[in-house]
Amino acid sequence: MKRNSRAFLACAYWAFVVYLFVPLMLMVMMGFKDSKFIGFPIRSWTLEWYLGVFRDTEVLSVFGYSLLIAILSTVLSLAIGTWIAAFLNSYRTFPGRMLVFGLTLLPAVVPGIISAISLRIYARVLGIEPGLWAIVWSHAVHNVPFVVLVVIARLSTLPPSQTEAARDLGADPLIAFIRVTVPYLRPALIGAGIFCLLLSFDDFVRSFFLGGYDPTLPVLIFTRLHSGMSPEINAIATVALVLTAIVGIWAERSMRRMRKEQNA
Amino acid sequence: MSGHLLQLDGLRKTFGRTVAVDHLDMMIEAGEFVTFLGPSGCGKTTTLRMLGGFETPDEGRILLNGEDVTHLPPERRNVNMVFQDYALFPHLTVRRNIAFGLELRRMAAGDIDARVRELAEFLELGSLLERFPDQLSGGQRQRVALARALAPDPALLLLDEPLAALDAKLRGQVQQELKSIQRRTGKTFFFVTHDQDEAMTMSDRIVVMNAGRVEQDGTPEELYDRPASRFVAGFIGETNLIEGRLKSVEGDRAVFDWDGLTLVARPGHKLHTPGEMVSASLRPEHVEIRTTDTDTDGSPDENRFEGRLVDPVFKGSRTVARVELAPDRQLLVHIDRRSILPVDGTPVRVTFSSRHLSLI
Repeated sequence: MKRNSRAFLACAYWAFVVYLFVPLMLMVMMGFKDSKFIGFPIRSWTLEWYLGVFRDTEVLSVFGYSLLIAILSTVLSLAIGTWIAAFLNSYRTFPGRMLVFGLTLLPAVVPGIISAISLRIYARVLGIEPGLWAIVWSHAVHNVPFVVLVVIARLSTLPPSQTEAARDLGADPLIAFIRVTVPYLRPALIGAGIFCLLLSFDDFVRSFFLGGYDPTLPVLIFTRLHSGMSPEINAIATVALVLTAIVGIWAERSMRRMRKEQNA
Repeated sequence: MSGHLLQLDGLRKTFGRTVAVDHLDMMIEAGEFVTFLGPSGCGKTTTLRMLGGFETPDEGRILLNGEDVTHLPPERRNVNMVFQDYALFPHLTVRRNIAFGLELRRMAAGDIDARVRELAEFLELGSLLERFPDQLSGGQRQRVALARALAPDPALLLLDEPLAALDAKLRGQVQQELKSIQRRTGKTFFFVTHDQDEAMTMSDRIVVMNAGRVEQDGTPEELYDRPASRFVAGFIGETNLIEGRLKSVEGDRAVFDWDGLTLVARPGHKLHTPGEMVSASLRPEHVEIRTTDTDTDGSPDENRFEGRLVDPVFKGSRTVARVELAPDRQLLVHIDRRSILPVDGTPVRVTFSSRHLSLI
């Protein structure tokens, strides 16, 4: 009986893996097809589509643009998120604390399309031109809640004596924060930062609504889809997939290593 | 300008409805090793934190070298603290931990280096300078915390139960070390603990606190021999607390009645009038025990009774037992190995001088 249930679990697990990865595998495979049309059967293979990605100056510049947006919005999210987390952590008896906390988390749960439309309208009211800064701003609004959650979890484990010791030795509150609290938060900041980078790089809705003439990578892929599916798109998507997967796996591993060091 | 290093004037601190410290007045002189001793919640840690600048008193003033520091933040006081959990910075090496306070004082790199080396040598940390705190043992961490707090040359060093995290064996050794460090540096140590043994071992002066108030302030000997209150007598060492009705007081002879037994005691810190109920403290080691057949008529001790030895417990150098003088009237005694053979039920004669029985 026990043996059967274990076999069943194994089957279910592998079925799930197939369910998750087959679409991705198909996408990667089609990028190698030596034909303009996506679909089986594949009669001959080519690297041409992949090489094309690296020769396509538009793809390369859009990739750079997306990366720039990701980095800027991440820096902004970390700064604002850490500040809110520090505020919520130090004023634990502040009566509106739960309200502030709830409002902070709200952007993470509002449906993307609604937040994109409302940001678009708000940007117009504020006079922010659609384009780089509008996208950076909208990504930061979306990412701040994740930073707050990760940073506040770490901050709540900081013994009060750490900052007190810094103050005792002559640091004013700001220097104590920079020299003691921030190093303590480092693993949380790295983790939250990578998560923000990936979220921003991947975002379509906000970039679409708040973008100007220059598309981000997901927007570019979307517009090229309009002119018909071709293995070229598979190649672009695969390159993006591999890069984000590498960043994600690297982040996961270094977080685990850091945690191990801390427990040691 | 007063001549005292530290002066506390009517210090009071409340948390909600709890009074943590209640009108504390005190002078502390330079070079003293002062210990605040008391059970948890007695106000000793709150006092320490007010001196460090981590709590603001509701009332009263703190004068350090004659300067009012009551409302100065911690970073602007010439006072450093050794925290209970040591609070070493985990991301910095031992060297950088010790240098932390010096870097913030904008000291030249060469001077910082020299000072760190001096302290490392003094506290035997030389070989550990490049390690991180999580690579140190408990005792080593404690020494690093001490070095870090001493580095900026504070006028007053605060120590918040720094030995509580160490195991019992190491604690005794560190007590000696700490006392010797204090003597050699000549620094004023303000030490807080709930461990009376620790306080007795290291301090020049002990302040016993209870429920926000000072119960007694004196040398370890004074506290032990002449406790000012029942609380102090019970908190410091083992003692027999004897209660009875005072019959007469003449000079240094106070006679009182302990349920039919007449005892001669020494008057204490407070004035008592005959007829009043009084307590007296008698340390177990001050009770002399002899067998009943010994002739003790020549002994100068005023208090002499006969009883029966019960419940002897062997403790190595001595035996702890009780002597039953009458039903429900027992004395805790220490028996020297060379005096009598401690057998349960042995009839004994106990004597003790009035000098050792002090009224509270």
